[in-house]
Amino acid sequence: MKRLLSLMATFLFTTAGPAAAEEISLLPPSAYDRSAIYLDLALFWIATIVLIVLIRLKLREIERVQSMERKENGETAPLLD
Amino acid sequence: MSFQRLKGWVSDRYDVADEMREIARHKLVPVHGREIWYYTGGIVLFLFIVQLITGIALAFYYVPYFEKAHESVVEIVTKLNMGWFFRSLHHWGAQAAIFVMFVHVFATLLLKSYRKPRELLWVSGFCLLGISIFFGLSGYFLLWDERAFAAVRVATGGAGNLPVFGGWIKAFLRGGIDVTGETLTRFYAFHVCLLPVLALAVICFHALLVQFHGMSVPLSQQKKVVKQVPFFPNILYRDLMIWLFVLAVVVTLATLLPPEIAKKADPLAPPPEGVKPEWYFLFLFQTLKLFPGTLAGMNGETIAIVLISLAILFFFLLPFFDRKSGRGERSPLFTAIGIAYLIYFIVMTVVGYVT
Repeated sequence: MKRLLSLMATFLFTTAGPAAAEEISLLPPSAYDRSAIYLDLALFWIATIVLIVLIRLKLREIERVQSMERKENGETAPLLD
Repeated sequence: MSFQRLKGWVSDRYDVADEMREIARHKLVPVHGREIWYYTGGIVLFLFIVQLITGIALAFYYVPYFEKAHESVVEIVTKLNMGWFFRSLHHWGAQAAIFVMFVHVFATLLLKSYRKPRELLWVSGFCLLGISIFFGLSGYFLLWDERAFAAVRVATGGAGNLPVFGGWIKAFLRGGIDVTGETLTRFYAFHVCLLPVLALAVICFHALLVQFHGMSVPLSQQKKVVKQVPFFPNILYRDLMIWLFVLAVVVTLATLLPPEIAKKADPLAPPPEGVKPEWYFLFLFQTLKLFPGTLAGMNGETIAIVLISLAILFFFLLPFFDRKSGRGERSPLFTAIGIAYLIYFIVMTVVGYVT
């Protein structure tokens, strides 16, 4: 009986192996690699925000120069009737 | 040869940079309360570029043969350096592109940007939406897993229910009577050859028309004094900021929610329970469920497919029916039709997702 049970356990164990292997790890399995990925994601967000702020500052400067040019050309001067 | 010398060599022969700069400087974009919707078109273009780059990277390793396709995807995800990220980015980029394209289409519809003389812009944009959806379906099938297999069997079977041409369309898509390895080869050809060429041609045509007609100003804003700003650099910088934000969102989704891979498809196995199509097909899937098996002695699914096709055809030809907005008048009927379409799409998608 014991032998039969151990045979059954071996059978179950060996058939459970390939089935478990079918679980596909969608991210790198090690905890170290995963934490590195999340850290990179945080750095990516910081870099993106910094870039957006820099572009925003550049755009403000361009708009300021454009409005000065318009004033110089008298485009915004009030018309006198 | 230094960069400056190379630049000089090129500009001596082909002085296109100055001309391009002049065109960009003279292109003006109206600024008003609804201008935010202008940026959706640019976002779609940016996401198409992301798709192209990630798609090329994946194509280096994908094996388009039914016995190897699933294994090659698993290898890309598990063995290749950053393979999981490229696949995930390609997946989420596609979802985002189709979502923003739907937003762009409905914004165009509700702002009546399709009105005369921009009918062809609507037509080309609608074609692009159709191409993108087919991109999504064909790309999904390349996984060769049981869910994709069932989804393609349902989608191509649905097309087969169309009268007259249905059988031919089904056979053309499947490459035979049933979904097999032939279908995979065919979908791969669609996904990496036919659809990119078509998409590129339609994008160029669409962009050319935008350049030709200029940006449309909504009827509600036309009577107000609309300020205009140059496309370069003002709008381009705003586009860049939005693209960076969109990229960050897509990268975050790709990192935190990588798409799953189901079991390898078995053409002889029954379809898995509770299988659902991608979210942009859910409203169609849910509509099909509303129809009984037979209706007035006819196949219910055929009637459903014909009605859906007519509704899509009407949507496609909307600018040609809405003559009032073409004359610059308000057309509340077509606004109501647009809202009805939008509500139906959202409700049916949510119902399909929840049930």
